[in-house]
Amino acid sequence: MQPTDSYDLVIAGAGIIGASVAWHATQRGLRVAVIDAKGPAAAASGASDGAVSVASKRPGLMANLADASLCYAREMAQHNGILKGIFHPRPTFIFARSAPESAALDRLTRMLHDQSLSVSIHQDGAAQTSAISGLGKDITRVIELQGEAHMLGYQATHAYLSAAKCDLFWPRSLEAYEPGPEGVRVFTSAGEMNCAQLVIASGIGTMGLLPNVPMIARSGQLIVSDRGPASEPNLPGPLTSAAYLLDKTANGRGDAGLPVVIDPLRTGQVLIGSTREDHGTERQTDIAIVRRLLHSAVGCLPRLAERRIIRVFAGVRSASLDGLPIVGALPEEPNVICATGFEGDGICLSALIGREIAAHLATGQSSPDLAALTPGRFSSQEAIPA
Amino acid sequence: MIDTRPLIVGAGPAGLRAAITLSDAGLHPVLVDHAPGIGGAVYANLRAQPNLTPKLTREARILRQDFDRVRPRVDLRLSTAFAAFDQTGTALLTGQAGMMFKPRAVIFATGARERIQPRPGWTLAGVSSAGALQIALKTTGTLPLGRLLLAGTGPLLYAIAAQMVAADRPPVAVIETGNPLRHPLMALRLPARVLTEATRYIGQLLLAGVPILSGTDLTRIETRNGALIAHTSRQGRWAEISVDHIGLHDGLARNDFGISAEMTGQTPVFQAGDCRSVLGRWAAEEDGKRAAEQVLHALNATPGRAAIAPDQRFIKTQTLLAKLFARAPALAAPELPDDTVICRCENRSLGDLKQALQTASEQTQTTARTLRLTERFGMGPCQGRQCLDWVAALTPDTTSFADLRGNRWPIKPVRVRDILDAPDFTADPSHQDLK
Repeated sequence: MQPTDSYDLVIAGAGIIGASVAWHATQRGLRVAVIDAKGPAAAASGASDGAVSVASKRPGLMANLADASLCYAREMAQHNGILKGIFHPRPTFIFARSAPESAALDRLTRMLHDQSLSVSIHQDGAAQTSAISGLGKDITRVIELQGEAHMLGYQATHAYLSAAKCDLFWPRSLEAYEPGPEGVRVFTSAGEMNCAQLVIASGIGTMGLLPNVPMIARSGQLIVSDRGPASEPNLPGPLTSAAYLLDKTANGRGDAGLPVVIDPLRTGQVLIGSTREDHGTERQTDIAIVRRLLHSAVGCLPRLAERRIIRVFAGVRSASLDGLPIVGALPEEPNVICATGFEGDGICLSALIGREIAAHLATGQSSPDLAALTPGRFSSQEAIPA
Repeated sequence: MIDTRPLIVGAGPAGLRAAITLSDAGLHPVLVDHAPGIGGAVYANLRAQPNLTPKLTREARILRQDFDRVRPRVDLRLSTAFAAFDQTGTALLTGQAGMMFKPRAVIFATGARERIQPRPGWTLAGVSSAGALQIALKTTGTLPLGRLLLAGTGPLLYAIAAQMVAADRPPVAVIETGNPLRHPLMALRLPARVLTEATRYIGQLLLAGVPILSGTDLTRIETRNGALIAHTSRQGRWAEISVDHIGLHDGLARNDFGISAEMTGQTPVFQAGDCRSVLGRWAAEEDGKRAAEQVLHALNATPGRAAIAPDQRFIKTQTLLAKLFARAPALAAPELPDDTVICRCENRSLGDLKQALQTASEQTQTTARTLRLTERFGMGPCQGRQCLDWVAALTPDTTSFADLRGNRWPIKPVRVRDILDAPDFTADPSHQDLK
């Protein structure tokens, strides 16, 4: 590419968010380039379990946004939509082993009802009545949800980028940018680019670029099993500990130990995840923690003890200090839009965020629903609540 | 109790010699091997079933005697797999004598792995690695029933063929891609003990009337009327050989899957023997001793002793052998038909790989991550041991073997129950929260 080349839009970050923005923007006729330091879905999008989950979101805004995104993704999976064959509706099972966990299920039930979400409770009862056989004896209650889905991050990223008629460049990292009256000058590891608008959707890679947007890297370890015996029934959907809701909906980390999610892959393998650790070291997995996750998982589903573990891996989620994603134009820099801090919710929110950012770029109008996510919220605050 | 004894992974010549050296210096190691006895692949007959009376080489006898001497001071854990070593310094062993502990030093002596070049039909039942046949022969005295064929390249092929002759089960033929017998003058430059061994093997094969078809490729295998048909090609001349079992062997590579030195935190980690550099069993023993001395040095258990460079003799020998066995012209994998399976775990073919590269190049460069995540190469239970060499060779501009493999653990697939059952000696038991 020549350094004089200019685009309507340069997107830094070829994860699921950047890819969704790219596709939605090209649908609106924008001339788009996507750059990435490594390649498509190279960080959190590629390491995610692919759960499109509304139930795990914080009640209120986040649950509403997740639900809107879920409904939109569901649409895009129909007919010859972009997510056809990638977005798979499936049931979700959330279980409780204690009174606090059962209370979390009650709160979930209220949230789904009060907010009129598209996800509904199909069944709620004792472990024996659940559609999953062979649950651990400590499990006292299981809720089966209808309406959620599975969508692997790297597959969705690949689908968006393949269909978007845009230029893709990697390895090429965003090093700096300079907003001006004519647009934005973008300095990359492979030279300069010019664009009218810049979207920074580089996950934890965003941290160094936007010093005024406070973020933390929260890593998670995941475990992949083998396919298991052909005679063994595959789980119809993920089996999630209600402790996970407690952990995720509380502000910051809960003290619920290691809440486990057992997520069936379409290959017959299962993904067991995942921890939330406040450090940003990718690729670091440790035996003691993996063993505790496995201990939890076998407690929930004893037959997993006979599976073999093929590999463990770690991913890093970019998290904001207040637990909300950071989406919108930077204060004082209307042509630089940031979309980061999803902390694992990027898979679920990618459809909506891509559509809304593309609409904002094309029309200059931004959705009022996303106002609370503006990066400006940090600069206007004296102290940031921890 | 916090267990910090040094760990040696692999009880072949390098690992045994390392264990002997450490024990003699007063440092008592944990020696782990997934096999039910010592010896590794090359001295597998050290663990032969009691009803067999294997003829041991002089080196094997001396190694066993030396090891027997230190045996009471070595914590030998057999039928136990080394599963993982993480950046916190914790090692996980699983199986019969599994445990978790914090070794203060680690020596990997995991030997070599066989390379098997993908060919049409290489995944059929009745086709195995030649090395697997050799281990079965050495430890149980058995071979698959029926007519056997060996094919591929490299010195090990002849050793295995000669051992089959000695077991009264000569192979139908040895199909050799290279032309090692065509360069007698070059061969004479090999060290005497290598030449002696080679001459003995070739002599045994000639005496038994086993044809050595050199300069010949095994291009394709198919099944016909319950038999395996090996299609061979020698400078464009085609032939078929009907057999019941085929052993493939296309040379050796370091068995260093997931154990590169950069995986460590504070703990000193060394590699010894073929897993560091494939130089054969004599070099491996010397290297095991060297690695043990490095450990002693790192732990300040002995006065400073510089690490010794690997012996140039062994490197020269291997370089010469590689030249002798080189195929001319070199076989290029892209010449294989597109439906050749490359990754047998995930059933991905050469055509799948080519198409992925083609599609990617229309947009932009593909990455190691894409080849793994989207194309599934190296994602199955073998963790890429079979395919990643070839994927890397076929995508030289895109990925490297190291990128494709990464440093993920477990080193081999391991049962969840075995991970949970391993007793934990990494910390004071009163601090454990895993109940």
